[in-house]
Amino acid sequence: MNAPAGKKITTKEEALRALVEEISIPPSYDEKARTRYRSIGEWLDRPASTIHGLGPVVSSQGSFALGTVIRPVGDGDAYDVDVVCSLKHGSRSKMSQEELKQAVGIEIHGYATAQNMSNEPDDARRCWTLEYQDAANFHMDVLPSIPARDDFTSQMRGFSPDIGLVQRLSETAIGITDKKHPGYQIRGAEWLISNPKGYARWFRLRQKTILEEARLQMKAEGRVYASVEEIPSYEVRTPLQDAIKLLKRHRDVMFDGDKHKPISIIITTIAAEAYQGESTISDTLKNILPKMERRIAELGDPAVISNPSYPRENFADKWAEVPEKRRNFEKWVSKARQDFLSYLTVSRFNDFPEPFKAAMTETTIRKVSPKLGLAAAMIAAGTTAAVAEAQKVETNGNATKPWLDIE
Amino acid sequence: MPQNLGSTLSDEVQLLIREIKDALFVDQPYLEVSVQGGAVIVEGTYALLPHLPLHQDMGAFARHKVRVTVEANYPKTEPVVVVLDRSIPRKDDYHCSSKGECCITVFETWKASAKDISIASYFNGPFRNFFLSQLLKRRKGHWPFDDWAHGEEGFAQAIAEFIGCRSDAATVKNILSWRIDNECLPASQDTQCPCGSGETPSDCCADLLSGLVQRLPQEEARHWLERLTKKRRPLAPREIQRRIHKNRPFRRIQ
Repeated sequence: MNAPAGKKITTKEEALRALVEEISIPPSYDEKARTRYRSIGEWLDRPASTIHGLGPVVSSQGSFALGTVIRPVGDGDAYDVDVVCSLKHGSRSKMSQEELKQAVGIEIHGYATAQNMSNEPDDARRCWTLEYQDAANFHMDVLPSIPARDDFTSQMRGFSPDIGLVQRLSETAIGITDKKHPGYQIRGAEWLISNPKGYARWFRLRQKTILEEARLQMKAEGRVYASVEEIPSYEVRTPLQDAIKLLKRHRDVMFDGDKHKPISIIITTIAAEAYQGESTISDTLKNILPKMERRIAELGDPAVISNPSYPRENFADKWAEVPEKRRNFEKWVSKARQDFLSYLTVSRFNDFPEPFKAAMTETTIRKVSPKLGLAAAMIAAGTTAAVAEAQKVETNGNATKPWLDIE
Repeated sequence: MPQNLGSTLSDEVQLLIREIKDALFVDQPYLEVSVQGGAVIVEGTYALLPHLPLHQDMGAFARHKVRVTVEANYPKTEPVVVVLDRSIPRKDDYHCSSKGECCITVFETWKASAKDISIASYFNGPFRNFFLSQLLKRRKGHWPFDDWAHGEEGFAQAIAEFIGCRSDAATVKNILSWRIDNECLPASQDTQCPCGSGETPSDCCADLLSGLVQRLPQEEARHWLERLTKKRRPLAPREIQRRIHKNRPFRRIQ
């Protein structure tokens, strides 16, 4: 929540919230993105659609599904909105990846024409990309897919001994198209597996305590959701989501334009793994950053960071062939820990350290700085606070005395 | 030159590095860890942070540029703490030598009495207390947790407090000698109590001595006694002049 006009920020948590507010996608854009992908879903499933009989369902994936979208650093940069178009009745025995891609493509082209979009949809390696040329500046990536429960289960056989987990994850597994896949044009060939819905579910369950509190609060307000998994990401804002947004902004500034920058899915995964239900952004960052740094430092060779919703997938699989990706991640996580903790632990709430300012960008800092209150009372209370700390040490029984060994 | 932490290090050093990082990386962003000649070096700006949630938004109370040398055999060897800037007056009264070496605490008795003597506990306990005390000494003029006298006298005081006996060096030495020679209270009525009362131990300091047997291993008692009886290096003439000039060669005990 932004600080109300007139009320000054007097804590680090309020300052972090104000920063997150500045770097987050504006609510109107968020709403527009959702409206647009729903509109695509309605188009693909309209009675006249050539794939209507296959039961197309469109849902968000990636940062939109997780609630971790941030504004691009550059003014001209676009928001990438990732959506999955899953054909409920599709099967790899009935169609090849290429046939699925083209079937969805026909309708995506029709949608672009119907919407008077100036650019033709782009036939990318795995998805169709729609470019929206307006103030919101979206790139919508539509990923064609089919359910892949059985393929998922058979691929996971021998990989995970937890049959219950495999069954649960398989319910949301999908087969996706990939032009570079050897079986791209062959009916019945194996497909690449993905599980974005399973990942979103895992991400929510990592925040179960916080989300459960939010669910009860929403219930009291008349908005009823049966479980935390059903709460849409835009309905609630959690400390972990906010912390991930700040980390992604730090990454974007540190590696502006670098194609080997740390990828969001690894940042999100290891942050969520380290998260322990902290109730503030500040506590979340203080907990997860040292753990993330250690996690990366202790990775073996080759590095393996498994997808929690499809453990056979290694998010760090490219690190072996491009060592720069690994080095960049190591550098980034170390710098992120230093920059965030320099503010969270060492600085006063209204005094952003220089590296922290640089990491959040001057533009963002300029918007938040005027809202920061003064710390005169805090400075005056310094000695009293130090005495209180000394009393705490006494109470804990940890008091020690210095001496001088003059030998 | 410091070694890269990625190079081959002994398990002992690797474990120590891990413990130090766990202890410091959570809230000390300006401290770096490296390895030099088998010891782990922690160097950079140490931020004296409030621990009470009420004070978290204040930021650090003080900052000190420090170098801490932790030998791989910690806790056998005491870490060496040097303040690299002038954030602490380099005076005996501030328990800081002219070279910036800090006398954090009597490490031996802390080790023997603290519940947890991990390196994390050291940084969070005596190390932090030292810098918190410096702050209050400068602002309020006294040490919040008191301080020991300098040299042998202070060491004897610390041991006496640990044992629970009189703090004169002779008594402390007698009791340590007794501990070195005894695994338990002697049954013989011929033995005199090491406190010098002339009574037998069972009629005098039985509880104190029994407790000492439990709390202080013989090897440690031997080490303490050696340190207590070790001949002190004579002071350099310049140091003698400095102390005479200040007219307070040793600090008076509170």
